[in-house]
Amino acid sequence: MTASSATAAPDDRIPLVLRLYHGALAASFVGAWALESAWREAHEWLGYTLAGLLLWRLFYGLNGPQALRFTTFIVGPRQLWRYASDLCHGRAALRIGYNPLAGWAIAGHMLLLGALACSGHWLTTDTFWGNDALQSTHASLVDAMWVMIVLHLGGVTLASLRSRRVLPLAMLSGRRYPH
Amino acid sequence: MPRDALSTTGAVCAALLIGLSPTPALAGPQCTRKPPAQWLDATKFRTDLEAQGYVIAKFKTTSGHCYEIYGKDKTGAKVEIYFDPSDGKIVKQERH
Repeated sequence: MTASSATAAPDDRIPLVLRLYHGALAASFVGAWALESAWREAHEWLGYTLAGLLLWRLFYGLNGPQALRFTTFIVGPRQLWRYASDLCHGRAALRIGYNPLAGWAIAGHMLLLGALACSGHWLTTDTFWGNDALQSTHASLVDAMWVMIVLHLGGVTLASLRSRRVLPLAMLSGRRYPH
Repeated sequence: MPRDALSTTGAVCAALLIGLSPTPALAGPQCTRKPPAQWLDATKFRTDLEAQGYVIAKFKTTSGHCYEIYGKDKTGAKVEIYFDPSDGKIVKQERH
């Protein structure tokens, strides 16, 4: 397996705004989770913050830089399957940017977080105040989100091993590595 | 290299999954250690709250040994209140 010959130009970094978004998104999810019972007001505001961040990403994914648009990194099932199978056979090429699995992971994160934010907001309305079914839905979505995060960390670990780079650093420095 | 990488990644994922216990479904507080025999009568307690101006949409006995209500207080604000079922004191309250 050889690294793809395409290496990032020095100025081709992950935009600062996306790195800040990623950090803020992670912090608001973990913060909201941690403060749920101790400080409900903060829990709710972090939830709304998260919703705002998602809306921004939605906009950015439609109008932002080409590499970060949904149409660039969300691929069809056939390509997804081919990549997964190449990966399992150890013959997936290293590449710059989101791989097909990562693209779908992003969609999964956004859908789960969107559902969390909506269900959380509805739980504060007159109609759903104290609604058991919606409360357990909200709680299950949190569990699903943690599973998603574990998969994400697993994927980043795998990609780091494949590329022999500490890829999480890319979300700090913005430097892109083929992975 | 891929086989090694895959098994390492598998081990890391498994460790993370085991380390993370599922979120308790919106766990509430613990209100009393006294046995239910020493608790206030739930029906009467509820009626008393209503007499104080609470509109109760939901009344439950929680796994943390609390009486919990969802409803509105006399000002019309949405409230979620956990009571100690042995003396009726408020243990925790959320308002909206």
